[in-house]
Amino acid sequence: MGSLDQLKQTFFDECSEALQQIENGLPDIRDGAGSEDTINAVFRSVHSVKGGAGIFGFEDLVKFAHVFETVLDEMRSGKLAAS
Amino acid sequence: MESASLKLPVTLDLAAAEGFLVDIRGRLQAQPRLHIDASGVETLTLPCIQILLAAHRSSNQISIENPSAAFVSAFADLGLDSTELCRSDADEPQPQNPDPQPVSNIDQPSGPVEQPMTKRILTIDDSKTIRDMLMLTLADAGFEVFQAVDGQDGLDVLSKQPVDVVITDINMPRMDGYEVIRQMRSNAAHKTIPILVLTTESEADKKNLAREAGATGWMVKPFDPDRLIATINKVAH
Repeated sequence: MGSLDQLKQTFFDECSEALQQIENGLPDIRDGAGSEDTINAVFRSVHSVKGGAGIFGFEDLVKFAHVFETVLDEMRSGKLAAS
Repeated sequence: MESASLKLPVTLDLAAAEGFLVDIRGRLQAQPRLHIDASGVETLTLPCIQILLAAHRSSNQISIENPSAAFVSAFADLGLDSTELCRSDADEPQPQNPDPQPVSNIDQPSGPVEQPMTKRILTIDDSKTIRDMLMLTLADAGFEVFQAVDGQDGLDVLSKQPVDVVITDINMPRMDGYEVIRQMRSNAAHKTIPILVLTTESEADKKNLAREAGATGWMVKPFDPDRLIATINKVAH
């Protein structure tokens, strides 16, 4: 396996972990049981996906993650409530 | 000058990287020239390529001999030419009878010869993908790279390892990039180390926050390797 392929595999592994974090955190946020730490953890997971996706030129994923991240940022700052 | 030789193992994977780094360092400290037999290599992973490149470019005293097809292919996958490592100063013929020093220079004081120092870079990012990409880029450019997985880890590394430039992400668990910058700027030992922020964020208020904390520069991911290297060379003391 080439080194760039390894790097891509590292990214996919990170995405799996990030998706797990997101799946764990979103129900709590929706139900109003999510703490600031929960929102921050989900935000960081989405942020990591966005950062890695940019390296490989996965533009659709970058755009999607950016919108997701913006929503979470607004929730973090109290401008938006979960529903 | 005396030289040592080293036969690379069949597998140089991620698990072998740490031991390999220690081995290379130890051998180069014992003998300044090192001939490496790469004929048996079947697996060569990114960290070990980075170690070989960094060792070669920092001393130019290692040379690869008989590289296997897998060795050459691992470099080619990265767009690198492994033949760079097959040449070194160790292979250059040394003049047997160097030209005598001109008489007019004999009484001139001769100071110590200054060797170019390898710049040491600390990268702080909670994403392994970004850390590995930075390692690949910076080691390939001849920098010595240290890694930390979050802000607290970054400060821990800094307390043990002097570096020339810090590259930090902003959004990280345990301690974010802003706090890393504040703590470095309040510590006399780290106060003047250039700090480059590397993040996906591009909002002006966040840039201002980093600048007020004491950041030297701000770059947005995904980064352009040439620009990153040029920026590091510009800010490094």
